[in-house]
Amino acid sequence: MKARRRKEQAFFFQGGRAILTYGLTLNHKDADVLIIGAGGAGARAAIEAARTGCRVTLVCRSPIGKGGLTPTANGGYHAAVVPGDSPASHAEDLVAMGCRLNDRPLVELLTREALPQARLLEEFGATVNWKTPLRPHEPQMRFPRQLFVPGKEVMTALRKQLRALSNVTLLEDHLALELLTREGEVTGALIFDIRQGALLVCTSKATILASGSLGEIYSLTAQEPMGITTGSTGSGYVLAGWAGAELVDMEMVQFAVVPIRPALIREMRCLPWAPLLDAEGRDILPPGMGEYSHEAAQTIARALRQGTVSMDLRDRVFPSHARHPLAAQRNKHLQDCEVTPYQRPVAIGMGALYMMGGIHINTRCQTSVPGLYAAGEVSGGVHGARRVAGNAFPEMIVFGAQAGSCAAAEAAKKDALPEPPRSQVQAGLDYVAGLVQRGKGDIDPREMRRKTREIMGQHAHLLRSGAGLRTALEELRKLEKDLGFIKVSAGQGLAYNFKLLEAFESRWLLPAARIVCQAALLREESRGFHFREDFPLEDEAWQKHTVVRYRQEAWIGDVKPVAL
Amino acid sequence: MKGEKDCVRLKVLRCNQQADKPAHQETYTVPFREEKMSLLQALEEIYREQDETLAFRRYSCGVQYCNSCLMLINGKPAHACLTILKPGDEFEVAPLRGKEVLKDLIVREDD
Repeated sequence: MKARRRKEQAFFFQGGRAILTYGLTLNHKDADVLIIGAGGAGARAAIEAARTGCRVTLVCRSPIGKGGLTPTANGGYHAAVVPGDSPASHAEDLVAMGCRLNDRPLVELLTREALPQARLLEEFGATVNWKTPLRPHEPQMRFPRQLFVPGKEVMTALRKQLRALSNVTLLEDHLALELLTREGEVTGALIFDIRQGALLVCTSKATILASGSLGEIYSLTAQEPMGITTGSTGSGYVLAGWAGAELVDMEMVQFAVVPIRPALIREMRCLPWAPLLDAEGRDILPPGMGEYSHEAAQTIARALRQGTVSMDLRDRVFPSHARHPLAAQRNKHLQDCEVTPYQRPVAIGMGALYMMGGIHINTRCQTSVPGLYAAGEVSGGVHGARRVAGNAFPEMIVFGAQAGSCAAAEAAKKDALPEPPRSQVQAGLDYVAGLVQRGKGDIDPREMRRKTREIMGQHAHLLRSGAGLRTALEELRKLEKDLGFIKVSAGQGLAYNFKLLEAFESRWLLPAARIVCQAALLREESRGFHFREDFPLEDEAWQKHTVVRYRQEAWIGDVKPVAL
Repeated sequence: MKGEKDCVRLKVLRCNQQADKPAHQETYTVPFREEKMSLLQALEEIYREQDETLAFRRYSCGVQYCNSCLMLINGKPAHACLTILKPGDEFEVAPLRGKEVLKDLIVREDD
């Protein structure tokens, strides 16, 4: 479907002339189902929705398969496959390891559909390694469950399917700026076309957010291979919040061991557990602690306060056996760099790895806002207080498919497309024009990003306290005042203007950081990956979700029950 | 300012039709902040610290999977993510040949 250029913008947008003289173009398009984010969840949703025959628009901020976190994900995919195991056992383990904060119906859907969806992936053309390891990875898992299909493999297979579907419009290099709402219902999105440097209004009958994570609110994160952004800046959480959706458990950030230096090997997060040594060369982890467990993470975080912690794998052989040719290739490249822990000790830190919290969904992937669905890492309620490694993949595929199916069903019930809300679109245009035309103000968005990350690293990292979180919120509040003074000189034009993109991202990164701090302040206990020094024990009374909502231009905290 | 021995010099072929800038070469000197650095990291450093207008696909899978960082490096197509730089190196960097250049090092993707 070709985008219609609206030349008659004068009567569409009052007061839009200033923008037009600047040369900002506004296009319009519509879809039955609009999907924001084309990683595993978004791409899977698009396939499922398109199969019902409806018109799907899939928006991706980069070329598909060349952005976000799916392409570089290791590939563990958990499902109950060995004799004696069952989806019910799998579900029980996930809830136990999630510290009972998971919504049970979501976990049951995940574990029930994990295997059928893996088979479908294989039918789509992905090479799945079905041979599970001999033993489970984690002490609390009762059976081994790890199938293996690298992220790149998933994306290649999904792309192949998408190409064959003529009713899917793929908009690459497009960044969603805001969800459009009318009378409390989501009716589409305002999108920035990075390639043209233009704006696009896309109206839709149903919208799915599959926009990934927010790891970049921290300076050290496994979500930035080589220290380069993947766009994991929290846009989906904030967009949903602005549209009125409930965000749950936003304090639940999973951290993992990540090499600090050199940044070249920063994506080497999926290392076998190895001796972690303090500055005196002593082992800091007691044996038997699970990989990626919150107990291990907290122990390491405490040791980091005392000094450098190094990972030393020199007495291990670099893994020659890999579960997939791509994994073998990756191992070889890393080894050639000669700076891995197999070759010499590497200083490590705790880096943000995954976001358990997110946009609250039900088993139909519906959020609390009509017309809005969510799937994948951006959603919340599936993993509770601790994601078990290997379950993000089934999450993205199972819920991606479910969101696509349910959003398409909703779209099918609607005859007419919604009208774009004029005042909201105008406000969006004003915002973008303001960034490039601003007379006063000279705040550099790259600085905003740096400062946000510094605040989070200092006051709102793994080990938290009420005082620290309040300091973080205060400093973020001060920084927020600068948002209105960001200026992007547009001498280079608006297309592929990365400073402009960073300005857009500041508008999310900062609120995403504040939401994490607010939720962390709200939960007065320690559970899973949320640790409060002033409330170091788990409190049964806190077996509930924290909630953050956006009301009257402020983020408000609340609680709600866990679905049992 | 670090001495030449601690830096790498990149000569980048740039162009920006939007801003009426035809193809021209610009030279950047990038200091080594860590022991090893990839060409992609050097480009990122230029964007972050020196020249906010430099455009390249700011994505890295880090291990040659995604081909986002394919560009001409000293005249040959190579992955910027795994071109490891040493202090004192000089490299010529240009967008891939035979593809439409959208801006600087960003080219139109083939499907």
